[in-house]
Amino acid sequence: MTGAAPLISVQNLAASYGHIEALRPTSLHVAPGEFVTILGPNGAGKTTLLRAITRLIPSKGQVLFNGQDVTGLKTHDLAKLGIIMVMEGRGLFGEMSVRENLQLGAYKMPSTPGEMDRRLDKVFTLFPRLKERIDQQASSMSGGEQQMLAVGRALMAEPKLLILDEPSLGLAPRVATEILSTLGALNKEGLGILLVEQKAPLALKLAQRVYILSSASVRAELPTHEIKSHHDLARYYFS
Amino acid sequence: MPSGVELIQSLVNGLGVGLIYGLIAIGFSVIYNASGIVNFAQGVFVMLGGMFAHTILTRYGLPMWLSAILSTILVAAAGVLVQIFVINPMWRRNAPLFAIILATLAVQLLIEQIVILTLGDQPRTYPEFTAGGPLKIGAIAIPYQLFWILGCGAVMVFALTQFFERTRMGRALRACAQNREAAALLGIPVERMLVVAFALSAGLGGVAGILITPTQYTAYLIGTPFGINGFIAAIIGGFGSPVAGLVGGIFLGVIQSEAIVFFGAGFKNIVSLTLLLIVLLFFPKGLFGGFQKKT
Repeated sequence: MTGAAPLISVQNLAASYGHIEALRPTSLHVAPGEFVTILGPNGAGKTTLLRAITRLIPSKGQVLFNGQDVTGLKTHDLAKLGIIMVMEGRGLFGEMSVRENLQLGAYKMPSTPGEMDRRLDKVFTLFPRLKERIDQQASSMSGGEQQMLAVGRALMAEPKLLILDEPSLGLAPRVATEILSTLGALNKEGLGILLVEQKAPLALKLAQRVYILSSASVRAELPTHEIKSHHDLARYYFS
Repeated sequence: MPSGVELIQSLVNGLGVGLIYGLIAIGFSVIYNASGIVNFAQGVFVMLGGMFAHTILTRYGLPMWLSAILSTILVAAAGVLVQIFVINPMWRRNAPLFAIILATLAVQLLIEQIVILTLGDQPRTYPEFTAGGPLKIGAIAIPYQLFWILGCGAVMVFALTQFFERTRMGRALRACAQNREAAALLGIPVERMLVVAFALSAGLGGVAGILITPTQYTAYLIGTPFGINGFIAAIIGGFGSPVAGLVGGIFLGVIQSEAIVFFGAGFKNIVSLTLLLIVLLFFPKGLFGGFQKKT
């Protein structure tokens, strides 16, 4: 799968906060239908990398999506092309209902009759609990349900590339496994996924390739089967 | 001690002006919720509404209803221009919010000066929408214009509520208010939403100006008092839903009106500013946010 033309190709992307270099020139790619994970210690620049890719922060470098240079595009234009990110902390519209959050996920959807219902049904099949909570205010749900909503909302856009920033953060292991397993199933259906995750064992089980980020730059890129143990990871983290 | 008739009459007067404050308060809330910006040029849109309507009526002789529609469109367009030429360039340069808020004050002064130079500095008014009146109930006089203000206020609050709750654009505006980054990540063009917010907000101010002018007058300087009172009403309502803004406005209008009857016209602003302080001290999220206990 890695031999295919990249769905997204990030070349020498660099970002800084004032004088602090938060991300040194970094390159990575995700092939269509590939599941790629980015691992690294806290402060390695993982979130900055995702925010730079989605243009939430200004950056230098180049981003190609399906071969098209999208470097100059704004965040909402990238979403229109099919790059959807579930941000760290979920980014839900807490005062709105589950239904409204999901409807907003399909903001760029073509207005054909029945399309909204079709997409809602698809999300409810993956996360039946969202259907039970359809009229509940998003902020009143449990952390796990909120994360399901964040992922479900992103799926409403029918993305070509789904980017997730630490979706298991703060969740009970069982719930985290449930959500990450759903991502694995979606990937098997052909969805390209770029995942930043602290729970390395879970992420490594699902992903085909891993980038290891440390001290604001990529330290290694390798197929996940080459990582046999935590010692391997630690070696890359601190090399 | 004022008589019962005086009290009821002042209640009627307060209701009329309070509804206008309410419409201005909603305008403040729409922009604040979409961007975090307090648009201190909000009052100037009220002035422009009356001025445009008067100009179209007197210079071009168009009927009132058409003048009102055209004026609302023109004021909404003025709001869009403010957003595009003042707010957006600052927004894109990541200007601090207080700098943007100061810029809205500068916009208010600038528009006032443009109005003096183009339309003059003389106060002006036009007849009430329905001739005759006022409606007499015993000794109490209710101007017909109050029914127009009531009706238009109700229709606009209903329409705005439906817009925010039921339409795609309304939901997108609410999304921008709650989390701009998450909204952009879903494909919502946040900057364009801000243009919509300014158009809506300015249009609301314009309608308020068109409605209130027949009951008093309009002139280049009326924007400031209306802006301040609309802002106080927005704080009382808590910058929340359209209904909260309207209730905040009615509350303020009635209190001011009763203050005039009880203490005299000089005390009107003292009472409303005291009310503002009380709300800020004990209900910092507005009356609809509930009483806030000390932490």
